[in-house]
Amino acid sequence: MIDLSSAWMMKAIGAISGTAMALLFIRPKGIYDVLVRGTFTTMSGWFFSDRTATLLGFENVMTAAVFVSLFAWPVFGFLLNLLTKLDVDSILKILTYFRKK
Amino acid sequence: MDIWQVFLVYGAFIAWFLSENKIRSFFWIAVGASAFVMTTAWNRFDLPEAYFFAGVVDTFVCLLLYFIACYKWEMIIFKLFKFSIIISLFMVMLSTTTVSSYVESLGILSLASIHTTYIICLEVINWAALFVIGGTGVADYIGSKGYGIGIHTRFYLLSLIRPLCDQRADAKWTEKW
Repeated sequence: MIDLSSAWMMKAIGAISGTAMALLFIRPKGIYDVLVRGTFTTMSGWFFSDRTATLLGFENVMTAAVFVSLFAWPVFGFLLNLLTKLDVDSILKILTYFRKK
Repeated sequence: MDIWQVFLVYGAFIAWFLSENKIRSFFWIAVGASAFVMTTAWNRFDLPEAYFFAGVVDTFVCLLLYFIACYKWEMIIFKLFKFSIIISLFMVMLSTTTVSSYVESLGILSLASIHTTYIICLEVINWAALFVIGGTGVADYIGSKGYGIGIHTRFYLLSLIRPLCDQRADAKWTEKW
């Protein structure tokens, strides 16, 4: 029987299944993308589930961990995409965009 | 078992027979049936978080489909199961205390009626999956006999879904079984 009182197990189940659901809807680019984003989303589901459950009135942390992981997936995808696209040249291009020519 | 579940069992057998006894059709019908039995049993035994459990089971089915599906019609079943994940997640959100108390305070919808709507939606998705399996099986059979080519044919509608029997572009598992 599943014991809903063991919060760490519920958090783990919620975070991992939320990540699995998210990667079905927004496809990752490859195995490294799955590993990096999956690690980040599972960790955020683990750490932010308590606070989210308190704020949004979820009954248990598992549901909160699912939703945190689901929403963290596109957020981390956006950030990682931004980080991989940003190099010195593109930063200089942004900084000098309004320069007089 | 109620009458709708008996109909679903008959439909599953008909879809299997229509699909020329293919092992892939039988496999996906068996996977869908076991997912249905697991989620229904979990709900009937009053185990905790039934909607969440249904979503997790559908997620596993989707991952299985993504990795071993070979044809385009299997990817339509993948999309149907993804839709049932969304519905289960929506029900998880509705069943939280804050949202459910708000919904009941409106006085328009009761949680029991929402649960009935959820069950009907899942039933419709199951029937759609069975239609995809049976319909593409028939279209494949007719195409393999050389019928259903061109528009002046009785099998025009089936020839429209014939391309679903081709292999998908990004098949992870290319062996035919």
